[in-house]
Amino acid sequence: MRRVRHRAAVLLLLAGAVWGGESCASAPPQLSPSGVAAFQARRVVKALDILRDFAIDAEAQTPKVLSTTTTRKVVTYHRSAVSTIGQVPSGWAPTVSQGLLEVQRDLPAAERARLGPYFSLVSALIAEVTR
Amino acid sequence: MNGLITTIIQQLPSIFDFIRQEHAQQHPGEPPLTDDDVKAALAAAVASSIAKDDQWLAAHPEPPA
Repeated sequence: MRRVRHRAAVLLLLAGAVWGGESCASAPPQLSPSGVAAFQARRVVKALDILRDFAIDAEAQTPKVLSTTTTRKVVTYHRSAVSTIGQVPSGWAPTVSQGLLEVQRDLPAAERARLGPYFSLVSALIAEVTR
Repeated sequence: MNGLITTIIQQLPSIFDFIRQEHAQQHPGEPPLTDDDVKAALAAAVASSIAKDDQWLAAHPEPPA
């Protein structure tokens, strides 16, 4: 029961980050299309950082909340996704979204569940900036 | 379970920082952002983010097969 409550609290917090930010996070009107793309891409990089940082912090706990193998997969995905965003600020979304699905599929169910709210945060933000 | 809670608590500053940044973007009265500003901010965010990945991956090399 406590576990469910804590999970709900994290989900609520992350959902608030996305929904709360939505009203304030539209790109400034003076930006060109490439500026808007960079503006939105930076928001996604920050969300990806939260996912990666959670994995690293969880792996560093004693006992480990996430295995080193899972954390390596998340960090490797993160590096690849952020590099793609940096190289293609206007066309990163399909690659980053596909990679996000693949890394989730590649994780053990229990660890995937622990990372679930963070995956949801990134997915929601990608959906928002690409719609 | 305690480890998970500790990790979540450790994450709170990052999450609040994310929320703060989401809200801080372009409110009335702030100097207008230019294309160069946002592109430089993106490049800096990408570089620092990848540096942290590389640091962690170097400290946790793949075990030999």
